[in-house]
Amino acid sequence: MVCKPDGVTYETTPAAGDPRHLLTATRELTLRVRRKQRAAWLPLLVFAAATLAAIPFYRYGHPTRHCSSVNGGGQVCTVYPTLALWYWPVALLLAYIGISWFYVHRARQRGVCSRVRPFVVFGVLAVVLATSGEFWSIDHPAFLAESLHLGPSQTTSVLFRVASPAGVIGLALLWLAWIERSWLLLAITTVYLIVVVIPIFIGSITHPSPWAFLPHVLLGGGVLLLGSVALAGAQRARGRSSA
Amino acid sequence: MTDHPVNGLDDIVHQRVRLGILAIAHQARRVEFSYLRAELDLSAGNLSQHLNVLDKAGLITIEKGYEGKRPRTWIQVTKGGRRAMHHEIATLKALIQRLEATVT
Repeated sequence: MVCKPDGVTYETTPAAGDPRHLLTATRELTLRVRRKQRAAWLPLLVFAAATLAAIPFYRYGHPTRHCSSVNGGGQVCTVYPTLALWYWPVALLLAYIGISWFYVHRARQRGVCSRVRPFVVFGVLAVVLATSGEFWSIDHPAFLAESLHLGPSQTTSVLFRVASPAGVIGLALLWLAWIERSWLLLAITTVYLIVVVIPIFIGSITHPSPWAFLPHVLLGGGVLLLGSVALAGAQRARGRSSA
Repeated sequence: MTDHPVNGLDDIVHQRVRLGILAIAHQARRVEFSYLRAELDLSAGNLSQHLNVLDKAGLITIEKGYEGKRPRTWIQVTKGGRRAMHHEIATLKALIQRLEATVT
């Protein structure tokens, strides 16, 4: 009688040759390895910190306006916070470097690696693509308005939010939930994506408050932070129960 | 040879410890010798024997090195090992189905 933690016997037992026993034991081993590999609380914590640290960049980064003429007269403009635009790609790339370092360090300590590379590669690619797209869309507002017919509508707003830094974080976390086979992380990420994709306004469109961005940032950062605490708590509780 | 699932079982993989090694190494990208020893509750000599069998069959690769002054042995499952493990699990499932159908 051996593998004590989950009560599954793995050494010689009378029923060890039974295919059912073999499959059950293999499944239990796989689940145990998965549990040991899970560490999604850290990416959530890092992303929460990056989100909350963006507040001064949104508040004090002066907004810039870029306009271009459209056919039939008139102009289409994009307004964007300059500092935040530069902050996000740098912050997210640093976040992914930190997360990779943590997973590698943990793997060396515990003796078991995890398949975190696809998450990091996906995350970095998504950051590069979203940032390039954002810079391009700022320079080509007329193209977006005329060719893609992306006017000020609810759909456009949702589309831009999915491609925003917060949306990109959410998509990468979905991928991590799949890699870690974690239902809890999937639930947290779903709540996070709903929160960051649904638009919330404070103040008025004509005279927007300089703090108009705050509810979104606080909500997004808050969900990530609470999610990190929940995941760490769940992991600790499971570790205690299996000890 | 009949098409009975039992004929599909691979003698190398159809062994509790070796199937366990493949399952763990498949789930992790790389796994350390001491982790396998603790998970499977085996002696170092016993585990080494099983690892050699899998290594000779080309189902895993063994990488020895140092981390600081500590010797470390990392095990990685090969493509062939992954295939063999999936095949073994599919065969075991088919065998269970066959057994259940026979009983009922």
